[in-house]
Amino acid sequence: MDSTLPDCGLFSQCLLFNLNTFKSMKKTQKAITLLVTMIIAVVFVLGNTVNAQQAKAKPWPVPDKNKAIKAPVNLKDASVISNGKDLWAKNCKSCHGAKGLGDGPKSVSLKTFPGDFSSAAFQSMTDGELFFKTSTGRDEMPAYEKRLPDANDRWGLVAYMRTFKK
Amino acid sequence: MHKPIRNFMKRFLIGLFFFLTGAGIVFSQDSIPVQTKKPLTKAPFESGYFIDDQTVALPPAHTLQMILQHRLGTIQNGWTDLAGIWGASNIRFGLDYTINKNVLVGLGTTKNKRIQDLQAKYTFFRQRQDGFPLTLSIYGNMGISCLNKSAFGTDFKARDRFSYYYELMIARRFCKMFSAQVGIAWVHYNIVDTTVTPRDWHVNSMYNDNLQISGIGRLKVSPQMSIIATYSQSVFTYVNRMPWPNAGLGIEVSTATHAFQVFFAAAQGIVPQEVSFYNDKNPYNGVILIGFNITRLWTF
Repeated sequence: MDSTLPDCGLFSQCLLFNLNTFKSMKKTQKAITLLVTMIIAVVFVLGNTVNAQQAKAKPWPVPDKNKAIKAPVNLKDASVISNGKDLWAKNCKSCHGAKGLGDGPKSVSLKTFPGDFSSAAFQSMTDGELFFKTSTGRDEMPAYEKRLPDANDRWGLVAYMRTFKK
Repeated sequence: MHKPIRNFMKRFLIGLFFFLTGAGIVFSQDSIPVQTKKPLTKAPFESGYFIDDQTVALPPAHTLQMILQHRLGTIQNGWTDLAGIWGASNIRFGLDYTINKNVLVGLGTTKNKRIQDLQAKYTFFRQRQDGFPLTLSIYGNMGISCLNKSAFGTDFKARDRFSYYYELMIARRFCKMFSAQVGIAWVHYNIVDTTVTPRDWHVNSMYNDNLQISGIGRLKVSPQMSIIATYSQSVFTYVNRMPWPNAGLGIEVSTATHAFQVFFAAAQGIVPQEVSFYNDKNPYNGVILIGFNITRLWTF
C-alpha cells in the first residue's frame, strides 16, 4: 500500500490504491483494462435488462375435443385437492409460485412470464383446457404426461389450481 | 460354508428368482381384467437410491437418471480433518435408464477398488389402493474391480475381479407420511481378500457368499422433505467382527427432477456388495461418516 494514502478506511484505500495503479499503467494496459471493464458492465446490465423484460405468454390454442373433457374425479374433493397441493409443491411451485402468481424463485430466469393463475382469464378456462396444458406443455413448460403418467395426479393439479381463484 | 449348504443356497435363490419372475409374468397386472384393477398407490419412495440401499421405486418409463454418490471420511478426527470432509472419501457416478415402467438398467463407476458396475431392477408387483398391499422388486448388480492384478494375489485370474449382489425388496406405503421396505440379498465374491476378513471370521467357513438383510424407512415431514433411515447386516458372519452392520440416518429433499439425500452412515463402499462384505466401520462404536446422494432425471 502507498504510505501517502489518506487514512479513510480499508475500502477507500483499496479503491485509491487501484486508481493509483491505473494511473501508473502504460496506455495499452489502460485501454485493455477499460475495454474489459466496459464489456463486464454491458453484460451485467443486459442480463438484468433481459430479465426485466420477461415476455407475455403467446396465445395457446387447445383443440375443442380437449376443452370439452370432463374430469373423471370430483375436483372439489378434499383428497383430490390435497394430492394436487402436494404435487404442486414438488413440481410447479418453483416456477409458478406457491399461490400460482407466477412468482416462483425460478420464474426470474424464464423468458416467458408463467402467468397469474388467480386471474379471471385463467380461471375461465375449462377443466379440460387446464388438463391439456398441464399434460402437453410447450416451450419452457414441461409436458407432465411423462413426469406424472397417472392422469389422476394431473387432475389433482387442476383441482388445486382452481383454489387460486380470487 | 460347507459345499452342500452353499450349493443348496444357490439353487434355492436361483429357483426363488425364477419363481418370482414367473409369478410376475403369470399374475402380471396387465393380464388382470380391466374391471378388477384397483388404482395404484403412490410410489413408497422418491428415489431408487436410499442412503446405501436400493428401493422398489423406479423413475417413469424412458427416463435417464444420473446419480452421484459421495461418502466422506469418518467424523472421528473432528476438527483435524473437518469431520471427514478432508479425509479419504469415496465416490460413485452412475447412469440408469428405465426401459419401461417396470425395468431399469444402469452402469456406474466407483473410486474405491475402481469398481465398474452394471445393474438392473425389475418391479413385478405394485401396491394398489384397497388391493395388493405390497410393491415387490428384484435388483441385481455385477461389479468388476479394475485394480491392478497384483491386488488379487499371486494366482490372478480375470474372474477374480467379479462380485455380485442380488436382492429381493418388499415395500409398502403405509400412509401418506410413512413408507418402509425390507430386503434380503445374496452377495457373492469370486475371490475374497482374506487379509481383511480371514476365513475363520465367517460362520460355517462361508467366505465367498453371504446373505444380507436390510430395512429402510421414510417419514415424510413436508411435500418435499423426508427423514430417512436404514439398517442392514450380514447373516453369515460372527458378531463383533467385520463386516460391521451399516446404519444410516438423514434427510431427503425432492423436486420433480431431483432427489437430494444428506445423511450419516457407516459404510463407505457405496456399491452394495462392498457395503455388505467389507464395511470396516462399526456404527455401534460411533464410527460414522457424512454422505450424500444426488439424482437427476431427464424424461424423454
